[in-house]
Amino acid sequence: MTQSHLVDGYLALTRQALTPSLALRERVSERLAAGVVPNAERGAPAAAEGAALGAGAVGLGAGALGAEGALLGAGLEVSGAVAPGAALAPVAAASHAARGQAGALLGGGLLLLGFLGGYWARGIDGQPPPLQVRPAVAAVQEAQQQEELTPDEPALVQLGPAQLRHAARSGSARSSNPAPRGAGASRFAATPLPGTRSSATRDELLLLQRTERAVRAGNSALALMLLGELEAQYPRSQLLEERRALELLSYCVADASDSPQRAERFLREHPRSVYAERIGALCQADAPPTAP
Amino acid sequence: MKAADKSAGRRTFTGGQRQMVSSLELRVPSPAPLDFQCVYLEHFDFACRSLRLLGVAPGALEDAAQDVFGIVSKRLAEFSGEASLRTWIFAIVQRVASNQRRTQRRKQQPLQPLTEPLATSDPSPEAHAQAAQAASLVQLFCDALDDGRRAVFVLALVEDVPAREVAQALEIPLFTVYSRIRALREQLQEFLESREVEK
Repeated sequence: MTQSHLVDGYLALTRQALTPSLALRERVSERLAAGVVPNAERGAPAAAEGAALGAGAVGLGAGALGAEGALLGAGLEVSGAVAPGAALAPVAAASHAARGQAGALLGGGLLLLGFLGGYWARGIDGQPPPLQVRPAVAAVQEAQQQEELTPDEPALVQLGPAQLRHAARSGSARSSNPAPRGAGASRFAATPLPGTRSSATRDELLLLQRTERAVRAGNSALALMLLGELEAQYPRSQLLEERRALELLSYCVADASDSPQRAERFLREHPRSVYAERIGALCQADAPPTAP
Repeated sequence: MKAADKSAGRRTFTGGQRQMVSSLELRVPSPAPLDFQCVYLEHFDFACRSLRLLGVAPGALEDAAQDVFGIVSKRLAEFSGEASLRTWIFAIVQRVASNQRRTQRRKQQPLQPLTEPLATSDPSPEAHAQAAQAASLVQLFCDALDDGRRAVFVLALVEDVPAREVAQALEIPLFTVYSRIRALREQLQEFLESREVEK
């Protein structure tokens, strides 16, 4: 083998072996989007597993507090961390945490701070103090609100009041209030469903919403990966039709060769689906004749 | 990815871009000179490969990549365009990799697998094993280089960055880059041949 062939061959294989997976790309993207402070910025590299554990603790705290308490707890967790003189906000603190048990301990500490922060933040006058550091939940909400302000980009899949009510009925969700109507409710709710006490349902909705955004952005690989995650985490769901519709749209966006057949099958199985029109348009499938 | 697909992806990523910018609290003056989401998509693989070749262990790659693009998102507005964006990112990669290596040495991490499972090209297990083996040899070679030559190796030989850009990024004469590329190829050739003889 000549010099150039041997060297070039090894270099090509190296490029192939070291190219990161799509899953890694997505995980890093999620962590960035969650507003986790980069460690290098603070001169303390590594240990981001602690951040993940900390974030998990925030989620756990949110689940424990319930839907309304979830947002309160998530928000107040930051306040609680700042008020007692803690040097760093939870996310930043978590990013400095040591791996493994240290991260878990910190996560537990954050959970406790969340509760304490809740009591503190209710305060004497009952007015929560301004947040010092924006938590991940707020970041997600803000991003969703921003998305709400882009009416010129219609969603491929509209999750309207019917779907939201459907979701609210599922699992342990018990809604005393009807799902809101109007423009604000025509998409996924940025906040938990009114009165919903199931954080799992809310998480599933949020995940489904991210999938929808990925489809709308033309990122079918990401959408399919998120759908896989949904399938793994929530195998028994009341939103399977929505998932199937998103999966189908992902294939259509990716221009898969069998997407028209898939679309026709979907339309046959779900002739009254609210997504029929969009699927028909995007996947160039013929809608079945509607029953009289 | 085909050029048309890529451009289509860029065009349709505006929603995600807004979300990313919002959640990172990135304050880019309007109109934004560079789109972080596009930069992320285009350079993520390059940054990760470079991090690995600069000595970041597989287990620390996710943290390191997050560090790199966290900095990129915050500093993107400062990018002047004098150097290429790729070499600008590489400078950040070098700094983060240096920090990661220091941490790894401190923690004395146990041996880790060379690569995480590939999901991009879905090769056969044999091809994957072959690529991993080749990469381990190249990384071994890379580990023995000093920082300056290592940077030339990663940029010029692995990533095919033009010599002129490498010279500009590393602030060394163009002639030095060419001579280092030639020397590195020869050294790698000898190294690989010696390894093949050992088999």
